[in-house]
Amino acid sequence: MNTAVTKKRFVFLYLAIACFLGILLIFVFDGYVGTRLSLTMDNGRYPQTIESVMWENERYPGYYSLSAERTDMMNFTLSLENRRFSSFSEPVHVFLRDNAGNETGLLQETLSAGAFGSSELSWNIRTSDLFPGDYPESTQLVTNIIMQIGSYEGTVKLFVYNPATVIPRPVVIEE
Amino acid sequence: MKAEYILFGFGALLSVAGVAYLAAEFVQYLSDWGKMGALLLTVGLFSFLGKYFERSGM
Repeated sequence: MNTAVTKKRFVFLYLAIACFLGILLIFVFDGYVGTRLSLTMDNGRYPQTIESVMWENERYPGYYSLSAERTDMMNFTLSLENRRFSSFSEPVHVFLRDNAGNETGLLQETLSAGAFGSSELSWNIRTSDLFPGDYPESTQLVTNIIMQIGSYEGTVKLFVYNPATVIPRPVVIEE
Repeated sequence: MKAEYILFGFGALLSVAGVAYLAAEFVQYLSDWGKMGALLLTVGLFSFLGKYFERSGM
C-alpha cells in the first residue's frame, strides 16, 4: 500500500514536469520558430527599427513614421531571420505613394533565405528627389513608403521638412 | 543561518530571475493561443506541484 501511495504521489510530480516541458515547447515552437522581419530606417541622424512583432499585431496596429530633412539621404534595410525548417522566398515590392495616390517604384526584388538562414534588402531615398521643382520651401512634404512582402503590406509615413522653418533664428539683442 | 543555505537561496533567486527575464523576452512573440496554452500549463504546473507536496506531507 505504501508503494501504491508513493507511486500516486509521484504521478503528480511527473504531471508537473510534463506541464513545465509543455511550456518550454510552446516558447520554442510558438515564440522562437517562425520568420522575423525587421525594418531599420536611418535618416543619417538616428536609426529606427520596427520589429515584425509590432507589424503583425493586428489587435493594436501601429502607426509608423519617420522624419527627415530636405537634404537627407535615408537608408532602409529590410532584414529577414528565417527560423523555420523550410526555406523562405517572397517577392518584395517597395514604392512611394503620396496623398494624391501617385506611386514611384523604389525596389522590386525577391527576399529569400534557407532554413534557419537570414537575408537583407536595402534601398536608399534621397529626400531632395521627392520634391517637385515648385514646392514651397516652408511646406512639409508627406508621403507613404509602402512595402509589399508576399501578401503582407506595411506602410511607413515619411515627413520631410525644411529645418530652416522649424528652428527659430536666434534673436540678436543690440546694446 | 548556514552560509550554504544563503548561497542556495541566492542561486535559486538568480535562476528564477534569469528564467523570468528570458520568458518576458519571448512572450511578446507568442500567438494568443500560445499565451493561453502557456497560462493553462502554468496553472496546471503549480496545481500538480501543490498536490505533490500535499501528498508528501509538507
